[in-house]
Amino acid sequence: MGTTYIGQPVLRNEDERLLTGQALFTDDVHLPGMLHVAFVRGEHAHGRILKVDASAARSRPGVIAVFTAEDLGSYWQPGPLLVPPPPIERLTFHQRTQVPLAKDKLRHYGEAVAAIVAESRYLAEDAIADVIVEVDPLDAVVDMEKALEPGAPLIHEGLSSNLAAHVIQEKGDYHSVFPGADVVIKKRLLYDRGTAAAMENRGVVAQWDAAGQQLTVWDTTQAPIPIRNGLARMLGLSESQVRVVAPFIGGGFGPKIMMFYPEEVLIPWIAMQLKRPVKWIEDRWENFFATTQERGQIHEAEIALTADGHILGVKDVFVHDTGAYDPYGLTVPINSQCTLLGPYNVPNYYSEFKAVFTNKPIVTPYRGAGRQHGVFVMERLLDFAAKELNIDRAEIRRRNYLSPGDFPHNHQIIYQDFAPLVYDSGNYAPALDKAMEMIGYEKFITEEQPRLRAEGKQAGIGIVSYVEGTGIGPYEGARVTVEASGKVCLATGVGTQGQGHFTAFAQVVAEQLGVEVKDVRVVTGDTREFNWGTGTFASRGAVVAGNACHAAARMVRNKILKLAGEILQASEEELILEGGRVYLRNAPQKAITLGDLAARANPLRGAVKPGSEPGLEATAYFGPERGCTASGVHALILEVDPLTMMVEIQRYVVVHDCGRVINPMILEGQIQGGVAQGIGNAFYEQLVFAPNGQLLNASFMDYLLPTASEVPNIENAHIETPSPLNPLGVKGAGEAGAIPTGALFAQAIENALREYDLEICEIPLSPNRLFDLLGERVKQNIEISISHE
Amino acid sequence: MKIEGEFTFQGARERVWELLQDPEVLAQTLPGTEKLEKTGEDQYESAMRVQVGPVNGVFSCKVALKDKQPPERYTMLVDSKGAQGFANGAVQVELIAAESNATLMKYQAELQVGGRLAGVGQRLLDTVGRSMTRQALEGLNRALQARISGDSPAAPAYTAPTQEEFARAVAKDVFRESFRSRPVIWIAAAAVIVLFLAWIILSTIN
Repeated sequence: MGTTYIGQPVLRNEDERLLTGQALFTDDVHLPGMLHVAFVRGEHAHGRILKVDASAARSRPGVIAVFTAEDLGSYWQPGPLLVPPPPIERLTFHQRTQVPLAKDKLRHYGEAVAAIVAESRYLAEDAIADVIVEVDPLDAVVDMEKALEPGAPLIHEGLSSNLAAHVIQEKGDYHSVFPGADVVIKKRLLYDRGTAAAMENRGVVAQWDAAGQQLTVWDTTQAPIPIRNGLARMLGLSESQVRVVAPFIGGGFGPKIMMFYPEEVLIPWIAMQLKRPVKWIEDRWENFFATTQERGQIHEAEIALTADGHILGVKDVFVHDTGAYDPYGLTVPINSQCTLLGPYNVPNYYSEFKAVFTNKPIVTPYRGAGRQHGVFVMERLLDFAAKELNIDRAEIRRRNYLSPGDFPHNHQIIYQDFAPLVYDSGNYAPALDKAMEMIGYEKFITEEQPRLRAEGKQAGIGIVSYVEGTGIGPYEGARVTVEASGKVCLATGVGTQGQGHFTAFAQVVAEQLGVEVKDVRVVTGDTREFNWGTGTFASRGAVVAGNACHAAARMVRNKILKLAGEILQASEEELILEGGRVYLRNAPQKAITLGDLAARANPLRGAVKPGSEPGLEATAYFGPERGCTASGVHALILEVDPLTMMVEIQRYVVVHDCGRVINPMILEGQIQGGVAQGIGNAFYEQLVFAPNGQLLNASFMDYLLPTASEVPNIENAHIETPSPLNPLGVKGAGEAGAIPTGALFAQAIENALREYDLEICEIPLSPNRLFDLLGERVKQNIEISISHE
Repeated sequence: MKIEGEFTFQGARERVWELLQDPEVLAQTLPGTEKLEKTGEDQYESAMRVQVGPVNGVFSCKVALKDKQPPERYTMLVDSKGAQGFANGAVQVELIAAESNATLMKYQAELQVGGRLAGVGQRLLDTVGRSMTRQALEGLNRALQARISGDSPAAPAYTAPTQEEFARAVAKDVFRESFRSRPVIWIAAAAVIVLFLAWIILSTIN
């Protein structure tokens, strides 16, 4: 099918507003009489609160009110469990969700203890020192393995240990592999914490209109509709009394899909208590611990293969650090468990994890959401196997790929959407070929690398594959309206954080309605505009909301053709809808514009026939039966400076398959951004906690984000294997760029330093860490050579 | 945070001991001290202004002396907090009579530091801590000299360093430590200064 807009690199509708400073962000909301909130935050990661005395703060001039946990009365409730555990047999899960203000105990550094409301943020911040918080410090649980040791300090007293969950998923019988296995490789692999560091921190503004009995909340959330529903329930209001607006958001990356953060629950309540608008904007320091984080896991993994490199089975037992609370259920570790299988045929799989509570900030999905860990484990195991079996790294992957005839492929375990992990479609070898060709894999190894090494340059190449489960349900909706101006309005419930929804969704609708993309006005993230939906997460916007837009536009298209047929006295087959009008194929002068049709469909006199509706409007929903699986190959050439251990990326190639592409320019932007975060995660960023749980690098002076000089321009290519699970044939792409980067770095660095026979089993790295690893390895190598002599 | 070290005072052990128990002298010599009072036997309360990198604030400190064995040793229990965080723990001080009427002090501090002070100022915390200790001890030694020579009529009076002098000394220590451990930083700093000068020159030309 030929397309007009889908698949085209259409310039983004939203950029003019964003680039000229016209877009509304939460902090741009200024209301008359608005008050400002600052939070008093606990300074111990673990401790018993003995006393909170806010009397001095309350009497400070400019302070309107101070609220402690006691002052919240019955509004003080632990947050809801956002994602219950999937239906997996023999599963253990202990629900402990965050509280609006710490009452008896502090469980992670920076937990909010009191909210100070003042005439300005300055005055509120000044009053923080007036609040006396007496704490009896307790030993902190920082190391996730020690968290489970007998005698470890208990974070939640009601539980018998710090175990948050225990899950086992199995496919086939891993133990059956040993008779046929020629090689078994066991490794301990570590992944540590980072923060999403969105450009815009979180923020909430709430306004209670007592006369109209309406609450309006502007919130940097990825899920405005669930927030609206939850706030209404908590505040005893009807859902129709609450409007949540998620305006433009400077990056979500997952931590903003975490819902009912303490501040998010408190600001609307305070606005209702004080009957004045209230604003809180998170500062960067707070963002380092009050916003959720991710990535702490330790895997003990094992792979069994035949001598020719075919995988017989994988066993993986890991510990997952869920932080002080677990409001997001098991999404992250389940993703690790399921993504580990990658694009490979793994006949036998045993995966077991324990999620543990620690005295660290809460863990919820952050771009990749556990998938990094799974990919890191599998790709590293394959690399070690390739070395052991003397098979080329790309070749061992190719030998294990599922082939196009294997789809749909059932992995026989349960995914994060509660459905069996079934890959819908895929075609992996062409992506590998393409990536190898683009980066010049063979030539680099046979010609360039020897030449560079002769010049004393430590250059290395890496190539890894991955899959990403995307586009999960339950559903999204969209409403498409043709207005009398001939322009189209599209409303959907998902919020937008920079993904280009104003363009991609408009392209989908414009394709059906034959209008210009810029003539489709898109409204997202405002509960007054669309009443139903879940949110923007799990790389699902284009898949789920995109297909809802498509379905609604199809329905409107049919209405247009029906009405035009009646007016032009022609059958629908004779009509062409394009350029904002409908005309007869054989007599193009017989035409009617969309604007005229919209006016005719909504008459002021006459009658709209029974059984029909006024206007050219339709609302549709889309809910896929399960997620669709995107995939890709990343390849990298880098150079390691032997003196400083700094890494310089020479080339970075991504060949990505997310099904049918709606807008390749937006897609490439998503990949570029994802890879940038992946590079940060692989080599620059790491949150460092002291043994007492104190976060030691809570600023951008000490937490190193990659900048334009560390992130190269990504060379992209796309393979399009459509998904059979949705009419557009699309798959998600939001997280892909960030997923395999750690594994890729590890492989390429090993290759660059191959004379040291280095084994990298951890991410993040850094020049310091690499230097230490190399030092340890050199020492081991010397010991080995001495013992051989 | 651990700080340990030694310092030699030019004076007899009893004189050093006396000095260390005198709140007035301590208030004058401990850097950043805005107020220091004796609130009871071996109990002191003070307000100190501390700046560690971008973190700057007043800390109220309670100090209790215990296990006193004059003039040999004592332990200070420190409990300080402010809007920017907290520091508490124990400091062990030992005085050893040395040759030619000097006194060797050995000190060992083990402090828990938390809050913004630790979260944001971490990178500079050790250096600033050591610098503050060094300055405090040098100040005490100068006060000791002033006191000893005060026994004779033409005694120079001791004056405490100003805030500015103190801050400059910290900056110097930070710079010295960075230079010693990592020449790269020194080069980077030089490059930044050169660029900054170039920028000023260019902007004046334009």
